Amino acid sequence: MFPLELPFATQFYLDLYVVTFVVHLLLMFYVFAGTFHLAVFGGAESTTAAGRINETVRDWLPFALSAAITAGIAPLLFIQLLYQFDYYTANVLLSHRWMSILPILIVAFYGLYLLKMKLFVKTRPWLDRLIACFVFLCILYVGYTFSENHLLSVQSKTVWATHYASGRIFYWTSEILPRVATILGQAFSSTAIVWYWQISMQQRQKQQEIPQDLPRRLAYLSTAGLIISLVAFIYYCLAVSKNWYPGNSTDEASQLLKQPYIYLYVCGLFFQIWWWATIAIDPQRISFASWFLAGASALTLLMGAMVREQYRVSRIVTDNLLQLHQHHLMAEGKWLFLAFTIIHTLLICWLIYVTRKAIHASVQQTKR
Amino acid sequence: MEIYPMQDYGPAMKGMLIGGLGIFHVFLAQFAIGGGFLMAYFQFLYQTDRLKSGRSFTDEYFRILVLISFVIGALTGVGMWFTSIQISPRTIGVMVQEFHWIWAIEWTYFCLEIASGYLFYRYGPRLGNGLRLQLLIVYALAAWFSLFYINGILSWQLTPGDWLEKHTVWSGFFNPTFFPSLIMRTVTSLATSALVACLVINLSHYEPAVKRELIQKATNLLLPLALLLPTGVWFFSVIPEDSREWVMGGSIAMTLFMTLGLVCSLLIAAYAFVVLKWQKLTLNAGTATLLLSLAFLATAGAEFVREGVRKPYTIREYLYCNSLRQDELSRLRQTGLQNVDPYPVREKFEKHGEILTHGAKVFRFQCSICHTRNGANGLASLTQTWTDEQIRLNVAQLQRTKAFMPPFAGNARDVEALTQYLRYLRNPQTFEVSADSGRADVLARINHWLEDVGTTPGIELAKQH
Repeated sequence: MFPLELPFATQFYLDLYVVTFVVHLLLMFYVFAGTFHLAVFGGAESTTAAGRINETVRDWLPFALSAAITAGIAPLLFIQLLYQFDYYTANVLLSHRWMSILPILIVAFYGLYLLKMKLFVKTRPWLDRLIACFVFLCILYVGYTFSENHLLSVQSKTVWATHYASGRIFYWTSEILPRVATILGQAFSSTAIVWYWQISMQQRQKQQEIPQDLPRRLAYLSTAGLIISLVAFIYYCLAVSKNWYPGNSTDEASQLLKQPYIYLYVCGLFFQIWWWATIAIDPQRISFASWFLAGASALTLLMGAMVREQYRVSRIVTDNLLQLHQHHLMAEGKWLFLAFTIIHTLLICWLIYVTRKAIHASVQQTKR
Repeated sequence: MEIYPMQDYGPAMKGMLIGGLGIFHVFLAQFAIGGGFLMAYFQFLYQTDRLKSGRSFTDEYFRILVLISFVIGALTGVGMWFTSIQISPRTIGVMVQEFHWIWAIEWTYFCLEIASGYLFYRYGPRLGNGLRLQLLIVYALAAWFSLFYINGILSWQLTPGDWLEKHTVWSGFFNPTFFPSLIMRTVTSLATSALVACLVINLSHYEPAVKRELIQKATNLLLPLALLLPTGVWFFSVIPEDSREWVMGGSIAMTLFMTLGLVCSLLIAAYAFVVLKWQKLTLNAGTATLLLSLAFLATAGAEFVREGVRKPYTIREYLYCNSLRQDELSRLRQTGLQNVDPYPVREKFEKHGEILTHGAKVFRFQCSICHTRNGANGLASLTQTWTDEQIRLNVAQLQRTKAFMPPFAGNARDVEALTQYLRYLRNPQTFEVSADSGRADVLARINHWLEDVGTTPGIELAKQH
């Protein structure tokens, strides 16, 4: 699927990691973009596009975070197998600062429930936006910490020892900011499609019209995010190739630039920008383009994840680790995992289908 | 050998961190697992006209379950992984490497649990009875199977069984304590969910008669507590003999925690059988809270014992609690520790820096997993009255000092450095290195003690005597 000239076992675990990570990322994007929208445009009238987006995300944010956390367990499992020693070391070095993402997520979770309950929308709208802003910052902090952990894991033992001796629990490198901006900039594009689909479904189920300005609004938000992402990525590539960051070598950067993923990734970003621009010009195109954009968004994220992991693999994975991956793959249980993945996916789809059917029937009955 | 950095948590023992979070998480997980069965049971009673308020109560109970278990329960679960990595990355590394497909299977059950749970939470009040029951059954089974899989991994740590020879997943998974653990955890989950239900019923706005009826039905899930005692006996009959001895008085802390768990469980069971079922009395919010607190204490006691009886291992007969394997430990006896740990010591010493830095590294590498310097289980106070010779002997023959400690992994110079560091911890201001420290005859004596005891674990030595 993603040939990296790696042995099958390592490639297999890497693919599992990347795919499950992207699923997790898409759900986290929903929370990130949703809370951003509520924080910035929280006061919008419910008849406007912004107001409809707010209504929709309020309702779905707690579920999205819950699903994101559940989806995040799988990549957390596979990353441990892939990188083992280096991953664990970065975790330990960041210590309780790394672990602080958990209480922060708990607080964010309850913040989302407060938003869903609309406790302060009418009485104290500023408080409602403040909560949204707080949750947004929480998610930003979690994303930042993940990047920090990632970058610390690829450093040398000398850097680790120095970091440990200093007693610091923050790892700072100027690489973090462009990386975070590159990733999170894409949040709006992939989430905008979901918002559009959700509001379209409301039209069918509740006979609510789609606000006319919705496609343009989604196009502006997505394009802005994608441009931030693209600029940050170009800056990052330039910085790596010029050896601006300590601990990186230009050899590694040149190796990175030889791989196809980086070009596919940039193409994906451009493709999305182009499509959103056409929607901004002709909003009618959104229903047709949404499927292309969804696919492009997912593929761009996959390519981006591959670029990131390619860099990590080149710095961490040794022959010894390759052999260990080979050994781990022999462990019993993989076919059972595959079987349960299929069975449970089908079961989840069936449960959603029968529940929706029942709800639809009850709505029809109420109408009659 | 790959060495991990080790963080210092001041006066808190590392075990306290993982234990505290672990107990909290297990309790919430029990609530979620038992809760699924309780709601399915109530929905079934409602559908068969045996509990009129069963449907409305199920909706109310599920809202609480979602707000508590789906949020804190889920995140403390991830927190267990994170904390395990902080405390013993090597242990969690072995567990993940050996059982990653089991964990991956468990994850598919989590997905099913979340999907069915949210469908019920969101649409349940608008659904017909048949579909509601289906969703609840899927939710309950998914939650229980997540217990089934994690139970195999956790019980393997204490009783790896045939895995030590075969190294296959299923030989480790279906280990000697798998089934008794599974039954005990299932019974405890049902009891926890019943007690939470009693509290929720009391705090709800139902009529007294309805509350009484709901409580009577909820407490039916306390009846399986009758299985706890025979299953407990089964569990203790299959754990290693030395582990059993710790609980039966060999380690007073473990005996106390075991007693705590046992007494609390018996009190809950006695109340359930005598007061609730025989006398057919009801219980108010205060009593429900008290019983729930006892259930929490019972969970705490049982989890402490489960973690404690593995000593001196984190994975029985495979990995010591200081993250060393037997072959590595034997090798360190020859090579010494001094150049093994690449991470500098953060403490600054005004005098005698070389030997104290060395000693601090030995402490960090071997002792800090279970001991602190001056806090909980602090070595400064534990060794306060010991003479220098006593420290040297007790450290060199650690497994004789306490059979649940691993053999010392290092050479005579490491023992001596640790001895001086422990003396320093008692009174850093006035500390001076012992006059005989580093002398050839002292090192020869330590060497003799090290060779005399060898690297055989204390639990093996105890059997030989």
